Amino acid sequence: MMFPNQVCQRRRDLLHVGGLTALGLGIGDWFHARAGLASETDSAVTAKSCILLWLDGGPSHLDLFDLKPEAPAEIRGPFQPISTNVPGIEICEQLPRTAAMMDRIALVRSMTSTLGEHNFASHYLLTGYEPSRALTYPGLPSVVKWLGSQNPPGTLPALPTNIAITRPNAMLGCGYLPESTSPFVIDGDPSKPDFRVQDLQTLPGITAGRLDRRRKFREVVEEFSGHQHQQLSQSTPGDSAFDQAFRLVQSPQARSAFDLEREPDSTRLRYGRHTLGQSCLMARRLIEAGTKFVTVTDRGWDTHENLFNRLKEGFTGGTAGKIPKLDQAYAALLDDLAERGLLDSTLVIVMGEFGRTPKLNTRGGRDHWPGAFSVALAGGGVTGGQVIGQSDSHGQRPADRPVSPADLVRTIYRLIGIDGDRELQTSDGRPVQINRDGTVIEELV
Amino acid sequence: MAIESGGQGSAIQANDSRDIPVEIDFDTQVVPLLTRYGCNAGACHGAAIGRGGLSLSLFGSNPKKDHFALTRDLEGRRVNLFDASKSLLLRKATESMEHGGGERFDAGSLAYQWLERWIDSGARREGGRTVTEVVFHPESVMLDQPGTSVNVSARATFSDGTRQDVTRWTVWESDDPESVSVETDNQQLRVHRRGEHVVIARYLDRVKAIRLAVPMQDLVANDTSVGPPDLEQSGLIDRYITQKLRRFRIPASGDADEFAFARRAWLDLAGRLPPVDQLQRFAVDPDPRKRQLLIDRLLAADEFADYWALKWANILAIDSKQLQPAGAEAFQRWLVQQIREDVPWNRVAEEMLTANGDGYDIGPVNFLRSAGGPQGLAESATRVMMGVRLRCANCHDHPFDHWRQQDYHGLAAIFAKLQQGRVVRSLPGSEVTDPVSGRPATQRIPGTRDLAGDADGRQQFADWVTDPENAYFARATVNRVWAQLMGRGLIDPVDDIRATNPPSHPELLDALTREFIAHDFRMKPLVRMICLSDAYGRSSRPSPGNENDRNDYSHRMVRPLEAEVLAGTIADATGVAMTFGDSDATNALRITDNRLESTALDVLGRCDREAACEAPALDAGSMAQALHFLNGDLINQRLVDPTGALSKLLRDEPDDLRLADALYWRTLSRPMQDAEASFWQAEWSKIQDETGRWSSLGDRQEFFADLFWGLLTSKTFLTNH
Repeated sequence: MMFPNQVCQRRRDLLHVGGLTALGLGIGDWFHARAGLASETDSAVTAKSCILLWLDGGPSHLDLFDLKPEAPAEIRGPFQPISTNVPGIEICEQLPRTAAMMDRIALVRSMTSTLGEHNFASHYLLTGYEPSRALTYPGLPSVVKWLGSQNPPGTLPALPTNIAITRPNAMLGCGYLPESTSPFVIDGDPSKPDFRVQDLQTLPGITAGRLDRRRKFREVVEEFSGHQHQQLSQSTPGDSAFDQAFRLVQSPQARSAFDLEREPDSTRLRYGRHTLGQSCLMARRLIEAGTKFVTVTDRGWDTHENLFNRLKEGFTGGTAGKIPKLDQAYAALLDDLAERGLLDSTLVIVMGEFGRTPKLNTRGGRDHWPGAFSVALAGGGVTGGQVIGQSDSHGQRPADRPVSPADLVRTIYRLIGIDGDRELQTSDGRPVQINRDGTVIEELV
Repeated sequence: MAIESGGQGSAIQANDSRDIPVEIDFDTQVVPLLTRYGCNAGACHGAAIGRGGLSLSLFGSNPKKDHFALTRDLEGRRVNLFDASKSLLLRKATESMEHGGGERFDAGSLAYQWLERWIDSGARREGGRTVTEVVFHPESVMLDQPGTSVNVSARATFSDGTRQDVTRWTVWESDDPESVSVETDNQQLRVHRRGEHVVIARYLDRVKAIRLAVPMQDLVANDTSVGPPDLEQSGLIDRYITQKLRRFRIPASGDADEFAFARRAWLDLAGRLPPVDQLQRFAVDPDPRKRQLLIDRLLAADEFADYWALKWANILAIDSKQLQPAGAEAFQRWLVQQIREDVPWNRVAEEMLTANGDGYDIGPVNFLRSAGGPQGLAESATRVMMGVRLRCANCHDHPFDHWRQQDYHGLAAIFAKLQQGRVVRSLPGSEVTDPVSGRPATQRIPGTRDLAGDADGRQQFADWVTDPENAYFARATVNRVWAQLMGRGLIDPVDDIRATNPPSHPELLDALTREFIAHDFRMKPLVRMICLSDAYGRSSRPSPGNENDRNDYSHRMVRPLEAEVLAGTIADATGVAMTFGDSDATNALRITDNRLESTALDVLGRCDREAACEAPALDAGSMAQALHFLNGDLINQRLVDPTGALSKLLRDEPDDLRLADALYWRTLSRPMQDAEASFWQAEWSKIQDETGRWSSLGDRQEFFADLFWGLLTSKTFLTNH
């Protein structure tokens, strides 16, 4: 299938491509150019990769990034705000490490949508499209992977472009794109002592030569059988799950990116010896090794009851709930990326599918609330230390500058060098814009 | 030119909806207007908690409450009886003051004038008038070309006998706005893409799916492939399938060859590959009735019952975590028995609904233990037995169907009167709360009638749902069986049967449903009929012009195999049995404990039964699976097992070509083709010496292991096609 980027590129883009080539930049940059970088802007795109911390279930904006200390107790909730290293920005007292690096983080506090059901809302946040009965849209990382897979086969990276650490939200699928753009899922808990990514090591006796032969034989069987397998593969040639697996297996360097044992204990402790912490560390290793998009999924944010305990202590008498773990892992990740000089080229997003009801319910929890919620972005060229938009006094609705999930997703695309106007095609040849309904949040780019 | 069908009102005058009635009735004229402009949608004031302080019932299902909200709440400021134009209702809707929902209509619009008139005449609600009928037109239309539009109309009759053209106040909601757009202030639908499209029309509680279609290609003069079908020669199924293919000008692919047909039938009915000797006999059998005989033989075999019980276990989400391994085993064994004996499926359903006793002994009892409480049971009973998603009606009336909250909670009330531990028995006196009234919900047969008293209502529900006259049960069952065999339900998804989700082949579904009922709700005759149709027997290779067809059965749909089937095919092909967890089972189709530890079944993508699996996932071929095939034991160990098929063949078959051919039969269920033989010969001649001999047995073993691996990991092997 021809990918119509050459047709769509405007003159300015061509100049841009020329510039990159002249500077002798690598494949990653070329990928940016192919993906339609800068057709909306002249500003340079610095993000080469992206880490999404997906707080599954819907994190409470009122207890994380948008506290309302002036509101009545049943809205204010159990936590107090603390100041951050940016004057005037306050966040939850349970996020002290994050507060100390607020200058790296941009908060959007005026996110708003109308979808209050988990799947619908997740689909909207992860694809930028409201769910439709006509078409399933691809998750953002699948689009990134698809665009990357359009490069010539010889230049494709050994590491998968789209990796999910712990099983991701079901809406993070490939949609109308080929199944091979789905995330490579690292199942299991990276904080367990016996954790390792399964099946990376070839068996004794299976030499590189035999791997190549197997790859060839498999393709030959396919070709002679003559099935086009349309419903399965959506008729795309190219970068199948097997191709990706072969490349990964044949690169010891890429495989080692999955090996957390190579990290010193001090680093592992810094991220926290819990699932989220070690997942974030794994994400950093993968980004460092060249993966474009890593999704870390943290479950359990659907706090319909007993919110205080679950967010602060985990359970009654526990030592760490959802927020302290997030604080530790997130802050360690941003610090570590910065120390390695990777933060400017890595966009880190913290979000979930919606916020929580301003009013605490009778079970001490908060229910689904898409009317207003918050998202945090850092790195990847984002100007930190700023708050975009406000919610009203009770965190019910945006008080100004409403930002829709489509706007957010378009902004993320822009930050990683993808033009939201570019058209992709469904398997039956229907053109679909990467992002249709969004407007870029200008403060962030 | 448009060919229309259905509906009666082609003579409807569409111009009277501009008139402003003297009297405007709140329930039947104001409420639809609120719906038309989205005011009472779930995303706006129809949300359970309302929006911006105004809460309306979803799509106007409770006009009394809505009238109160509009005229009494907020000190009545929403309507200003002295100066209608100062009413918040109008000022917000026209955005002459701040409105989160923006401008819904302007001050010059008909909607404005109607609301103004209603307020001027006192903003009253008489109540009592209801809509008795709405005729939407057309119901179904075939257009020649994309870009064409069609006029639509809706004409309502009310309980006071008056009639009104309500086209303008009807919501015409396109399933896919890029395919069909609503134009000219609701008077026209324009179709932009080829294929079949649905627009949902809604007026008050009346919803209707309008079907619009454009053939997949232009009519070509003298094209014989799209001439009138020879319907006399076709069986019931092909009559309708072919008719539609012709109407949409989609060419059908040819028949599958004998090998492909046999492989398909074996996989669909026995859940395994055809044994090579039987396949070879079938291929050369000259009997013209051999396909029929094969289907009959497969239907009579135990494997059919084992495999189809597994399918139903996935549909029913039988989970040993919920039922304990003993309950899950009793349930699945019972299903095997029902299917083996072809017990009428309405009796099977009735037993599941009305059983009592110990779930470890009595299989069907476990249905009542499986859903975690009365609400869950109300949802699973309607999903499994009616193909309906009643769940929406937990919190509000179903927006796209006629199910109301009292249907949901009324059915839950029936299942509340049960003790649902290991032992299930009637427990009069238990109740669930109706969230609307806050009182105990009254037992109710959904959409039909309340049940008086405290007696166990299960039998009455069972009698109703399994009655031949029931509009759902037989259809839902037929649709599921069809989906299992054909890859997609005539109504898709199979658990979402509703007026606004029309079947791809309505007449076919009706006809099959009648047949199913006529055969006393027995599954085997239905399966047999489908398997003997031309549509079932078609090649999976697309022909020019039908590559993009997903819904019309022009060519066979390619589907991944269920994990349990794949486990069996890998074991059979390699001649090395599989074991699962600590059980002594070697046949995955018979495993009744879905939590049995098995890396193989996990990698192959078994249903986790957290939710029902109506069909294997279409994207089963993940990268994790590819890695396991490359580096894991599942296949690799079986290639070197000394007792395995490959080891035996390497010992016993000196001829390389015959050896390769044997591997083709074992995996792809067909002989190796000449072109394939030439390729392999060329490959091994690179390794062999000039005299055509292997330099070592190890070289030969490795070569054929790699060839076998290529066959076993090919999509051709991993799919049913």
